Amino acid sequence: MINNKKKLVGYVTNSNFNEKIIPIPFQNILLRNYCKDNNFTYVLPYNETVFKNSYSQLITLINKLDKDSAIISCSIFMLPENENHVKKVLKLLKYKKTYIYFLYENIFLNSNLDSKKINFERKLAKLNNVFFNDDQFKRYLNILLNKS
Amino acid sequence: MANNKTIDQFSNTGITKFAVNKVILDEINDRVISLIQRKKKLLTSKNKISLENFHNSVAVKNLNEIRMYLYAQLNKQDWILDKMFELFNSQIKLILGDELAVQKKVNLSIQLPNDNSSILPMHSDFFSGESIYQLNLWLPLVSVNKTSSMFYFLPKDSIKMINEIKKNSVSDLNIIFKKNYKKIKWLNLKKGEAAVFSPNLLHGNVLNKEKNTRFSLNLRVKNLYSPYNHIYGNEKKLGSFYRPYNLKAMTIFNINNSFSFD
Repeated sequence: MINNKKKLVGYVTNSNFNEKIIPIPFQNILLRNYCKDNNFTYVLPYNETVFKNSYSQLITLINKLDKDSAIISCSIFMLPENENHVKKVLKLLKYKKTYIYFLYENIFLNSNLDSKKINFERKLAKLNNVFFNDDQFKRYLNILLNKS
Repeated sequence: MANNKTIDQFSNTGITKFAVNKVILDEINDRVISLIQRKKKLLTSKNKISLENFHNSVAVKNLNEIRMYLYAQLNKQDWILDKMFELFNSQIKLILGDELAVQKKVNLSIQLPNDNSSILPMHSDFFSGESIYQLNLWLPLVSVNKTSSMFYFLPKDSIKMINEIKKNSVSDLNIIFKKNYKKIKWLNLKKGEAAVFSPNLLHGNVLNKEKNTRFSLNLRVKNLYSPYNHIYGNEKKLGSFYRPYNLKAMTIFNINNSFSFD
């Protein structure tokens, strides 16, 4: 399935993903360069809306894809946070016999296994906040200081 | 009287059309044609270029290269920006005032008949963080009608549909579009006419099923002091997406001198 696609349609966002913000023109450069280096035709991107937790453009894009096309995006953190919504995305991708390629993590999404891998990676990244969150650190520090 | 009509029409519907200065329009047309002629290698015909019949002179696979070339050349040294301001000056002054923030470059759109590679689906410009106080200037270089033009929804319909999009975070915009298709308005314009509209109105284009190619220019403008988005990190702000235009002495004075209430 991965080999039979000639075109990759960009999917970009103005919002932050995993604490990163990449301006759209730069996301475009990254995605276009990947396509150029790997002999894909790059198709101008769908830009996700700025509404909180909105993935309407992603859903619209998947439903619009033609047989020759898949999606390219910068990061797995641009997928919906809600796991049920990821399942919906995956179901649509399977139905359309296509995939999303995430450039930064070099991960494809077109199977349940990919979905599990993505889920794991995202949960792993959340540990950064659990272990090294400033607020929690300050709370621990206060507890320690009060004890001493 | 024309001023009041423009203000009333825009205030009520978010869109208004008007006749433009034909001398300037011809100047732009001539410039576009002469630039296209420099790209003979990408053309399929040696006949005289006509923008309306451009589909007879180019293959779809070469269209983007021509579009990007024209876009770069027209925007060189702000030539096209100045022409757009000459054409839209009265409407901009009436709707936005004098001191402006303007998109960095003028966009060019080419829609060949039956070319599905240039379709811009239904959207509002603020979906990506552009200011809701933005005005879009739209100048077709040919007559446009129905599918060769753009569609839009009236404010009430747009708000209803946008609320539906906001409510369902995984909604398909095409399904919402199809459901509301009967409500769309086509921006039909004769050559020599232009339009300004609030891009908050849901708008876009569909497959051009007419016989002619559409060439059009568009530019986003807002008042320098009207609100920008408040979204952290969003680039659709002054300095990154918009640049100042026609700055007044008071603004320059305060940029140069850091007086502050704090």
